[in-house]
Amino acid sequence: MAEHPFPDPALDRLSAAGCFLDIFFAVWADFEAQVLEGFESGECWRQRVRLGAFAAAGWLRDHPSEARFVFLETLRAGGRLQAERERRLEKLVDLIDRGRPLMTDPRPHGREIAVAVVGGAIGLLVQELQKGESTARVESFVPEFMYMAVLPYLGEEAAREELSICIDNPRD
Amino acid sequence: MAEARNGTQDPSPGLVRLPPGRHGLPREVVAQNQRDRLIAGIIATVAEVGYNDATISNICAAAGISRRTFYTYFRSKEECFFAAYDAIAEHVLATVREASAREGSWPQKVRAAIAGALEVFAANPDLARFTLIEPPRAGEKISARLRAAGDVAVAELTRGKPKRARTISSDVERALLAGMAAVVSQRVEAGRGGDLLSLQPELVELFLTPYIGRDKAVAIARD
Amino acid sequence: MRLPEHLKKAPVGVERLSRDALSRHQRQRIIKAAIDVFAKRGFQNTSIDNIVAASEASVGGFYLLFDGKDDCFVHCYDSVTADIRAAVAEASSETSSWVARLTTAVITILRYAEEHPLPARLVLIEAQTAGPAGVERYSETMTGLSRALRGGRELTSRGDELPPRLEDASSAGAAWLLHQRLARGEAAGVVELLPEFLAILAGSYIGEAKARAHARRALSAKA
Repeated sequence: MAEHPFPDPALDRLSAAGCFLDIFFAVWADFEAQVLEGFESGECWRQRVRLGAFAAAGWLRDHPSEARFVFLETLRAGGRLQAERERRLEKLVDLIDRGRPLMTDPRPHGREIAVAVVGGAIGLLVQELQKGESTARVESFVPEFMYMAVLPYLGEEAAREELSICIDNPRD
Repeated sequence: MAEARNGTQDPSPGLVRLPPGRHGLPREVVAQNQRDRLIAGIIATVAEVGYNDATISNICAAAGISRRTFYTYFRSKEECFFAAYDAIAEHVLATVREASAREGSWPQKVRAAIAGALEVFAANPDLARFTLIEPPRAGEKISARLRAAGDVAVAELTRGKPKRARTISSDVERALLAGMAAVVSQRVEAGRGGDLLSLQPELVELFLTPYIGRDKAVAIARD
Repeated sequence: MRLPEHLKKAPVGVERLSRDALSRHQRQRIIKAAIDVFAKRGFQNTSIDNIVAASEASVGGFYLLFDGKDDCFVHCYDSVTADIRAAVAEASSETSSWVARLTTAVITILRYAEEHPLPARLVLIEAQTAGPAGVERYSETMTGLSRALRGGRELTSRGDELPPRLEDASSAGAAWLLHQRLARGEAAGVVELLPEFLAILAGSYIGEAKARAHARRALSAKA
């Protein structure tokens, strides 16, 4: 596995192991742990997704260089890392997909909706990172993300409610 | 420009490739020669294949210059394009000013100016392709350069306009310029770029009519 | 006033470009081969030698047309998106409703991905890792799709209450869905996901149920 030189001092402490893939595993594990903590503290699917989303936004805000590495730099990496990245994203898709029983009409490809929700959020995040925007802004997008996540599962009214729920009262 | 600098004394090396190895020419002359060749190269390349399809390799091949040397003058194809554009615009402006300085009244100055510009494009229709035809196809930044050139042209043509001539809104003035450019472009695209001077009466009439009325404009144009 | 040397028509340097050397045929052949190579090997693992071997061109010929690997990729990208746009334009009718036009566009794109998985991979998967120019192209495409989707807001009275980045997210989500299928080699039959795609792209404007119903009707009509 090729060495990848990091110009960013914050990531140098992680590069002791030297291996690009190992670094990815370690950083993602930290991100995932924080997201799951948020998710599992919720009482219903909707609240869990919201708390997980705010937890993710918090991690991104606190770890800007790691965020760039894991979501932006890895796009350029080789096949193995891409595959690992996808596997981990699938776990996030699983979390969203747990809302499937809430859907009113049964459908054969229900999981694809969750794929699109996660894909859309990641796509937006990558765009922001590419523009060089600060990761502190991600938090302000969570209500919009929740609109798009909740719409297919709980309908329009519930989705609209999400737009006015902010970090101060995420348990609503 | 080599011509202006050297006047009639030292014959400038023109745009031939300088002999390899030491040739004892001053560095500024070598540099000017290379830069001029790149400008000539991009004009020829863009005229052939258009700006979007032109590559730095093409331009260098046309100029007889290495890619490495290209990058000592320009950071990108776009930068080279703008340098060439400026060179052409500078020459057109100088030509136009020289021509109109010889005339007395404002309408006569306009006529001489239009003739001067047409002469430049007729001498090398690639210049028209480069400055008028390609820019709209080459993206926003380059189109903006064309628009800016149009504004300069309007300012130049209306300089010294007498107070009794009508005042036209700047939008209409820009439209007049665009119309004239379109007429020129059409003829160049039809492969008749060498014959641009015959457009002079039509363009003079087109431009002067809003300011001094059709009868007077026709009289100046047909003089 | 005479034209300065660098603005004259005569060719300079040694190599003179001709339309023949840059024949469209040659260019198309290289692009077609390059698309396959980029999609199969991935952008990083593709070298110019790979492309040249696959297209039976020469390295010199390659460099007459492209500045390098990145430049070639961008031309490939543009070629594929142009094909897709042409297919969508051909399938569309000006008189249909917005939803009908969206449906046609999505079906066309999904069918294209089914029938041409390699070019689709190039645009959806490889572009994101294909150097700054490739990334920019992908970003432009996504922005274009996002903008096109915004028209759907007019179908609902509560259009301005919708989240501002809705279309960015829904187009990114739809793109990711297709990306996944292509990445796993599961492009065959992706058209069956039309209800999901329309729910994602139009659900906020006309409601999920209507979007899915529309999709199912469109699928059975084409069956």
